[in-house]
Amino acid sequence: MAKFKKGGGKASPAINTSALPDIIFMLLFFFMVATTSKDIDPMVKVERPKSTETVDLTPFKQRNEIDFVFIGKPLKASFGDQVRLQLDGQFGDPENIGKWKRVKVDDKGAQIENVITCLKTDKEVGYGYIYKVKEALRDVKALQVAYGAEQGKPKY
Amino acid sequence: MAKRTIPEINAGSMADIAFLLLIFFLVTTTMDKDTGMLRQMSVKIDVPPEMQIDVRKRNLMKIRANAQNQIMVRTDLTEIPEIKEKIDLFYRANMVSETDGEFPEYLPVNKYTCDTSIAAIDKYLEAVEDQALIEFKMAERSEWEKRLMVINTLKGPYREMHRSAAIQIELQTKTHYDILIAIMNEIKSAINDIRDEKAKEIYGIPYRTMVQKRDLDGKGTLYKDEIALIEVLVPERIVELKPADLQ
Repeated sequence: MAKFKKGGGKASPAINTSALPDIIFMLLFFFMVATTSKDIDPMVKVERPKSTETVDLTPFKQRNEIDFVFIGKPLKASFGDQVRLQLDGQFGDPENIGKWKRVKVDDKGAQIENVITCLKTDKEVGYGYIYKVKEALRDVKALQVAYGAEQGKPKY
Repeated sequence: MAKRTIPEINAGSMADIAFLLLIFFLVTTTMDKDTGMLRQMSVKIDVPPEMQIDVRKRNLMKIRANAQNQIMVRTDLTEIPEIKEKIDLFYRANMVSETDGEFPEYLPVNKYTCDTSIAAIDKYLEAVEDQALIEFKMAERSEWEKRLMVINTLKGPYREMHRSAAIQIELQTKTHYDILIAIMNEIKSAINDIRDEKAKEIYGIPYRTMVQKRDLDGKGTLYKDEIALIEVLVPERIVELKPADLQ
């Protein structure tokens, strides 16, 4: 029976991988379109509450009409466990925010009334702290505020 | 002539390069969108006592929450999902005709009231010097102009909720942020539902859809006038009070 060769030297054919780069590029483009860049690394823990009545802030971001502030407890224990503000890359307190806001607006060359301040606040921050931040913003006439919240059904 | 053959370029590492780029984008970007609730705060000025208005009880909706997450709407202990219903009633009770003395009254607004009010403000502005007061009065004047615009668009007078009617939120210093957002969410969803209805009646499109389309529009001018009109017809006046226990 010589029909079946008993060959040991038969190698499997090489898999054609020339389409692999195309697949990866496709994934790459998908991520480039579907995501937005992280411009600030949060230094405080912020877990956003959910709400169904939120507004998408991306258009304001594109028009450069919004600043982001984080409010929460520091992620690193060495910075204490008190609620702090994060103004760009620095910790701050409600007393500093007015000055910071003015510098930010001046850099943009915009009117302070037209620039929104988005307070990305952690769920468990007390209202007293938020109120102080808002009053400080009101003192410098930055009257437009956005409460950060995630789109979704609230748990209550 | 010797034939030259072009050697094939090895594209095996192309995938690696693409992978590198892909991983770079995965690390530096986030999926979650920035969303939030917009709030307009009022200017800080000292209003002289003769200009302060007395707000009657029927025109106020006071929502209070303490640090134990208990919520009071007016005088009733309330669960969060029930707030929406109460806000809805607050707006609708007297919307069509005067029926309930416990809720804000609706006043007819016509061209004559607008014109006389604007004239009165202009006369007042001539005499006053204080910059803050001028700003305050100018804001009031622009409100009247908006009402005039509504009358012109609707081609007739309309009924408006009492101008001092407002929803007040009073929280304590320790009340958590998510309670504030939950209350705001209820209020906004009640108001937006009423606005949706009004917008459908007048323009045939819900208010929320108009706002969404405006936000997607690059310049933000789409439906601008329509949205402004609905916002005059169904005003959103939310006042956040200073926490009583804040030093």
